[in-house]
Amino acid sequence: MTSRNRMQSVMWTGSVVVATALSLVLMLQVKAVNSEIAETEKAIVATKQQIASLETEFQTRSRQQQLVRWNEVDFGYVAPRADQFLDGRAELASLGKQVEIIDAQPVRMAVADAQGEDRGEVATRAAAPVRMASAEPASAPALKGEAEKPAIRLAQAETKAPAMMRQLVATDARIRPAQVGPKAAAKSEARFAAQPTAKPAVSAKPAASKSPAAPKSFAERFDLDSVIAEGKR
Amino acid sequence: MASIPLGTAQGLSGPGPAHRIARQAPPPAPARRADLRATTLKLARTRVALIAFAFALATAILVLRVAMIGIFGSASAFTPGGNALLPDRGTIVDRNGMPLARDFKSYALWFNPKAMEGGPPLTRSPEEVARKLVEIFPDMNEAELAKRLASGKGQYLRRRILPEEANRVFRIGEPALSPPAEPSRYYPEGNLAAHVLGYVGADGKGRVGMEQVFDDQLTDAGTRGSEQVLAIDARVQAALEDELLRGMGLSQAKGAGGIVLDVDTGEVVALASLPSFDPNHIDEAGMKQMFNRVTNQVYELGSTFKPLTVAAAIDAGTITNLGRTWPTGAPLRIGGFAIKDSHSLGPSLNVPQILMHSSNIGTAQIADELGSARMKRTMERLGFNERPYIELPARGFPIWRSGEWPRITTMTVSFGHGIAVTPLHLASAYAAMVNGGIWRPSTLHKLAPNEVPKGRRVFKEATSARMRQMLRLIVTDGTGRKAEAPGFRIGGKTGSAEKPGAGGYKRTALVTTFASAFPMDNPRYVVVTMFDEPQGTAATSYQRTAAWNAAAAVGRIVPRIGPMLGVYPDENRDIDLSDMRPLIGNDGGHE
Repeated sequence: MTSRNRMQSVMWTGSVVVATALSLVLMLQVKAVNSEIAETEKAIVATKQQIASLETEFQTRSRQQQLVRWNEVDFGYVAPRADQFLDGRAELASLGKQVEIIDAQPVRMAVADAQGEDRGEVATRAAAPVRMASAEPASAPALKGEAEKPAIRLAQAETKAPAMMRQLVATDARIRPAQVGPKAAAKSEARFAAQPTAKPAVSAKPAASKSPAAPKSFAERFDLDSVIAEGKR
Repeated sequence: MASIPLGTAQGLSGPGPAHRIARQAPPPAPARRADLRATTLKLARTRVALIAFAFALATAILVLRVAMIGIFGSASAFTPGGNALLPDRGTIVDRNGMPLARDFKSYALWFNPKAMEGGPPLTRSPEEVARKLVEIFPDMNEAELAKRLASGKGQYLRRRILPEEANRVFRIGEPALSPPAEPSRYYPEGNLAAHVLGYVGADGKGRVGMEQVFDDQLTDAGTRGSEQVLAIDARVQAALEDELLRGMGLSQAKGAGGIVLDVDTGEVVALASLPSFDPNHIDEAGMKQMFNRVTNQVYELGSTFKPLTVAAAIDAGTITNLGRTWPTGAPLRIGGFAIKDSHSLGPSLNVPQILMHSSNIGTAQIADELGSARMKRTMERLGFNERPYIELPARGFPIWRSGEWPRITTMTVSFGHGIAVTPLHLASAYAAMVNGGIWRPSTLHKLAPNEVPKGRRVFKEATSARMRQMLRLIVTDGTGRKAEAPGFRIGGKTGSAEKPGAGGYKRTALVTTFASAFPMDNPRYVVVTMFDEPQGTAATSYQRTAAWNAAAAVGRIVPRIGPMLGVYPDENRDIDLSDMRPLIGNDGGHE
């Protein structure tokens, strides 16, 4: 055997050994990663089982019958009453606010006047709290926070009267029960029983007389008496 | 390779002729020597090639294996723990996903005398170990425990122990007392909805309730991973059971039953039969309570049938005017039978008054006018001639008269006698009466909107609207006033029927029922409550009729369950009774 041949055979053997060693290392590494994954999976399963058992324990401790027992002994909660629920955003907005009964104040359609800006301003100053009933619920002589309701009632007001007059009429609380549905009527009647002084529609008259700057008062432009009569009917 | 001496004749040729040659002529001729050398070299080369090939093959296999692992992943390398999470038996949840029955690994205190492998079962004396165990479980008997430990037989010392107790047992340090975690069926809510759920027997098979119905799906490897969803709402169920139990206590009743049914889908939101049993601990006392009063027991439900009769008459057109009056002053004699009222209700009553005062005489005349055929057909269409529609295995068959009904049967059925159905039948019929007239089968499966059965029409829409008014009237002004819950617009009818016994009806043993629906302006749920033999107690003003127990229970149940089911109280809303008021005047109801 020549030395070249021997060299070759040693090299072959060496490369085979190296390849085997490398693949062995790789295999071991793969095995290691595999078992690591398996370990993690096992840990996940164990944790999930633990979660399930804890959930079960919590549910057992807080079972419905137990809650009832605690409630009877410690808390005494009862089912909520009808008046503890709010019906719509308007009621939510007025929640906690003191119910303000605004005294009958001069109501005038100051901004509604189409003639001249100056005059309109004068009129506004003369009768300070005058505003469109539907535009500013806070100053309407209805309950605060009932912003949505006037809009409904407008449509049901006397249709023959001009638009502005209808808005004025709408501020009259006493007209409502007669013109809205029986369910709403019951509600508003109960509330307005507490404010016998609210007579906004009637108070429109002094408002008109107090502001001489207005070119044409309501009394001149509309048949106010017929509207009031309509409201009282 | 090293063991073969290259170049020697013995090593290469073996015990052949060469051996003999070598012995005969020790120094071979030069030509022969060259020949031998070539042969040896050739053989060596062949061997090297063979060995190289073997190495190459091994390397190739290794490389291939690495490639396989790399390419095909670790699918065969290890089994992931996915199966470990698959329960032995599937979970049952309520309509909101709250588990009502689930698999739970619970610890058991198992004495394993073989744990020490040959030696004595315990490292200490049985008395000492027993003392330590009693420290953990104070209710165990120390002497008896010591005896059991000394016996050396493998046995359960305790079936279920808490995890913390298991840890303490482990800390005693006895290998024979290592608590194994055993899979078991567990009902976290205890005896809540026990009749609906049932239990799992020692053989692993479901019994009584949905455990039995779902048995295949719950145990099949392919389906047990997913949950079985019931129509039951655990919170509503709890409120129903709680109030029924309270009612039972107040009226000293033998039992009670209740259903909350969705009128538009037929889903049973709650179903209770009391007294109940604890599916976690099945014992003899529990076995006695497994009878389901709501789906299996049939009762003559009495006056709750009157609205159904009136609805049938309005629907058939025999009542065209609700203001028409019927004589109710004297008992009605049919053949040898007299139909009486519980007390005198005046000379004549109109339809709403008949229902409000619950007059047998009036209802019987309405049914008589309607006729047997039509009356029977309506009852059939309400499903009173077959077992109730529900998945539960326990479904009672009604006491139903087949063939043509004689006049007296029609009349007695009109006020709920001579016919016995389950409370579930009644609930489905009331749902049909108030939902616009469509009868649907009741179900314990949670239904998706597209799964709701079409049902069959029993009453006209207009009839249903009229009945809603009259049922509401019974609660506002009639016998059902105790059921009134402000803002919930409940409507319903009381029924107090005497239980049949040996030799006729027993006057003191009543089955009281209140069949109701809410809210009456747009009915969403039917609530039926039933009490078995309630007594007159101080809490019920010494009355035993439905108004004082069944109706009062509904009045307490509805405010609790309404908001959970999305029905909020509103005192400004109600069904319009303005056209009914003139018919009843200032009448008050009696029971």
